[in-house]
Amino acid sequence: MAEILIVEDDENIARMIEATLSMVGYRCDGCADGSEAVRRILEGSYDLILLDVMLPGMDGFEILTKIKNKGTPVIFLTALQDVGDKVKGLRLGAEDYIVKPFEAVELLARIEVVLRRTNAGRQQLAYDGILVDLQKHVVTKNGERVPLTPKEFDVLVFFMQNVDIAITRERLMAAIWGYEFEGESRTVDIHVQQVRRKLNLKGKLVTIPKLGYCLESR
Amino acid sequence: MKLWHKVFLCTLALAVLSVFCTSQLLIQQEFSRTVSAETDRSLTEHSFFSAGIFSKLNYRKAGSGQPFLGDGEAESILVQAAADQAGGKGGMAVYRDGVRIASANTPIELRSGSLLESMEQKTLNGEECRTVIEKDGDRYHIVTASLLPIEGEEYELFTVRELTGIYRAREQETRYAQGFLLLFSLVMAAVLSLVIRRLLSPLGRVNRGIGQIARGEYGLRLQESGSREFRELSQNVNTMARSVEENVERIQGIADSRKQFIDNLAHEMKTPLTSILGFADLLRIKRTVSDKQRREYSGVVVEEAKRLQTLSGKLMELAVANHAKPDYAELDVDLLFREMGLTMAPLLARRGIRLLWESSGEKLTADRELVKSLLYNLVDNAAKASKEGEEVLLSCVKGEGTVILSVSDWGIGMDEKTVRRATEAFYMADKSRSRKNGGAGLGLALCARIAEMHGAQLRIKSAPGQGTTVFLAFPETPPAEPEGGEST
Repeated sequence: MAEILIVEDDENIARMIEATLSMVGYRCDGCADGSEAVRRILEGSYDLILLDVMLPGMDGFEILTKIKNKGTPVIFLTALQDVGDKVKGLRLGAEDYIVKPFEAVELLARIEVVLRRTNAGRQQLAYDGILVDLQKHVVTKNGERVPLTPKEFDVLVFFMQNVDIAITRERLMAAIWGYEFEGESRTVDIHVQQVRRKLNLKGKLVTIPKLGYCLESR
Repeated sequence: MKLWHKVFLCTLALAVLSVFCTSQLLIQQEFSRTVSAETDRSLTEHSFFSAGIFSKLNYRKAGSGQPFLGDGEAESILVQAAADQAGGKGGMAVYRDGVRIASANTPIELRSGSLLESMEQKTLNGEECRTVIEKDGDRYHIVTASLLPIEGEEYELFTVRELTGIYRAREQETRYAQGFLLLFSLVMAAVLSLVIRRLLSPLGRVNRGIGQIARGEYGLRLQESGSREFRELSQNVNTMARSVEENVERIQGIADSRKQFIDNLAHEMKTPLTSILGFADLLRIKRTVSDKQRREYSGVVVEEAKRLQTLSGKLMELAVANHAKPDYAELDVDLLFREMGLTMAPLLARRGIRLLWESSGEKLTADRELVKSLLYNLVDNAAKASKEGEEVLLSCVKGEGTVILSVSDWGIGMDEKTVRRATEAFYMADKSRSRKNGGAGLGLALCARIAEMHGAQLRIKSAPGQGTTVFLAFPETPPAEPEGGEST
């Protein structure tokens, strides 16, 4: 599993991120100081850096400039909503930019995207006899191939990446259909039902009233 | 048309005109003098000639011994005189009753009506005669006429001299003068354009400078040199630029500090919100949450929510301080300190810190609630900087026209840089320590604002490891109008 460094000076936020990441099994380190972060990134071999922009001593942009040659992907975390800062961060080579406050699932989804893009993410997902090959877009259950539409495939992958995490319909819609999608949540329900039926996930991919769905481990 | 073009053309035209007039005047004067000299000479010659004729007549009379000349004798003498004249330069003619009797070298018709009409009367040696200058083609002649009374007959004697030479000379002088004028104009134009441009060059410089200032280079200053007008102009422009620059900087400063305040506020609000939202979300979406995790997560949520509460409370205080007019009253400092002690000492005692106060009946004119809020914040800061077993001291002394309150601690103190920035909103010397103590970074900013409203000076004396004293020098009479300054 990928190893992630959290550079964040607020202790509680660092703890929150760590709790979120460890929920899906990432290994995390925390660091509250700019120059210490630079040293650890250059010496270590992290797969991803979550970098706060406002840090004592050295700000996130400066850190990014210093560790650029190492090539470790970076996601900025910031309270600033300034478009200029966003552009500055991305131009400096950051992979993504998350504005505080954020939801846990959003953070996980962004991390997943970046890790997959940089090939440090999971290429295969497994859950109870189901195997998903993310590169080949192939799903097998107990060795037998299960045909899925592209959207159903995305829905399944999203649940398997977030096992034991309750996913709201809005979150699922945003992740699979994009934020601009203006369809009804009924569309989401139909896709979830299809996935549940095709892969026989009854009792595992459960509906949580007033919230959404959750793919539960046994 | 540019200014220098106008000045150039006017000056050049005036100079050329004056030179032209002067030269014409001089030429004309010289010419008149010459003409009058020639006229005099003609008159003299004429009278000499007529005298010659009379002497010849008298000689003839003497020679014949007769008192009268015979018929035709006078006329033969006149013809003889004309013949004598024929070899000379001048011309002459004699008429009797309008009939020419004799003539020599007469280039023009002498007895024409127009000529006789235009003749002017002159007197020479008591004799009356008349002269005129007659133009014939491009030649000029002066004609002199007088009456010759001979033997009871009236003869008219005309003499002629050519004056073409002096007219030619005048024409030549005029041409010379025109040539000179042309040359003079060229030289004058060259010199003038140089001089005027040189004189007006500071104008261009000033103009360029003003242009640059207008385009926003408010830091630019013009060189204060050149003639007095330009120096004054440059000085005034510089004064203007300076005040514009100061105003722009002031406004920029206000805008910057506002933006800084908003940015900091957004950061300070979003940081606890991130933790609250994150942990609440975890509690919501996690399938299984252990008891330990639940306590930890909800603990953080409560802690961060409290932080937001503190922040909003301080913001409220700051907003009130910014908008409220101080309600001035005479406060007894003894009483004020005792009240402070009553509310704060138990809080401080819980942290093992003793609150002391000393005063000797000073009176302070200030807003009671605001001053209490001020002292509360300062004492709170002092307590946060102190360790268990240390003391915080409130004291009051009378200065010159001021009442000085001070809050002292013997805690960790601050370095110079921190002291300088201490009253900035959201500035925290040590963020994690501040947060642990529930600080929002607004306390001293609030104190500074309250002090400002009262016209009081806030001064911080501090050294790392030696503690901090904050002095507040209140004026004995509060300012008439509360300071309406911009605050952040």
